[in-house]
Amino acid sequence: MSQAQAVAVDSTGNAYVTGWTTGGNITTQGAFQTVSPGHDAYVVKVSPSGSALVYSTYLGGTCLDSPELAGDEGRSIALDASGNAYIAGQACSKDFPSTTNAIQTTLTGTFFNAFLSVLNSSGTDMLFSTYIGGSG
Amino acid sequence: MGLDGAGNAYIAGLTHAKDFPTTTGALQLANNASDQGTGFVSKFAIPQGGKLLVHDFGLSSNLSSAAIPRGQSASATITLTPMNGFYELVSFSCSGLPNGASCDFSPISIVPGTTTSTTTLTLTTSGLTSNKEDRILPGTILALAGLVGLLGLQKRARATCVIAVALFLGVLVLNGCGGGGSSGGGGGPKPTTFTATIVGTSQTTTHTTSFTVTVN
Repeated sequence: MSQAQAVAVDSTGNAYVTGWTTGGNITTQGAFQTVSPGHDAYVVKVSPSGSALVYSTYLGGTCLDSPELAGDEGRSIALDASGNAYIAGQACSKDFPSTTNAIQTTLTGTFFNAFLSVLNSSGTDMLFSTYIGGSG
Repeated sequence: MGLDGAGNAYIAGLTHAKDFPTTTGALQLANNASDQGTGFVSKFAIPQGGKLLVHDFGLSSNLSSAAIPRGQSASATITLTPMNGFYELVSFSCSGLPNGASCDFSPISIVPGTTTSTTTLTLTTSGLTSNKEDRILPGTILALAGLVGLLGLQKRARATCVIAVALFLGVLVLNGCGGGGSSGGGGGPKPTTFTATIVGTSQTTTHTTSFTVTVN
């Protein structure tokens, strides 16, 4: 089961969708994350005609003990001029991907934190990814 | 979420945390709401050059060496340190143990939290026999040498043959004594030394730590 939560469109008409999925997504070769441990966020880039997946990747980790959230979820997506995708959402996984330039690399929330991730234009690499939040 | 043209991301949302990160001079520094949570707006200047942090773990032992009286056991504390949000089941096992030595872990596997966790290793040597095998080998070689000598002396005088047989039997008798007086240092069996390697295995990676064990 999947649910789309947000969509953005770049200047050439590619559509970027984020949301959450319980697995079974088609991922593209070389995508940032091709395996989902469970209920995770995803990011999909669709060609202007809607006929092809430019990239499709999972985004998330293993969320086992959050009573309020079934898994990581993308809630919002935006694009910069280079086609990098900025995804914001909620993460309850302790192993949500984070990067060396993150402001927060560990989950501090009892249930979940917000996250901000930046995927490169081909969906193959994470440029920035961080948890955001406190311990509430 | 919104972006500006200068690489900044703006995120708005809801938080229940009393310690949500705020910046100096912000409009509202504290979360005053009780149960409903409070809104937030955060602006991020995305730094360049970020690399994905690899989820991994480290393994260490509180012992660098252990001396165990033969037949007894020793305990070690094995510490599992998760790195970068590593969150997988790690199962423990031993390798490099000689026959007769065994290990147990309590617990046998751990899913690490955000900080370190430990398991207790019990290394048992009760099945470890005295290393008589070490002395059988030279004894056997001597015995074989005696046999060859015996065969070689077939055509010689019978008296010489008797001496050779006596030599051979003597070697066997020495061997049968278990080399009691030959190991030195008080007449006990020679210490057995080996390296105990503790292996932590998860779905994606394996790490080891080891220490030297001397069984006296």
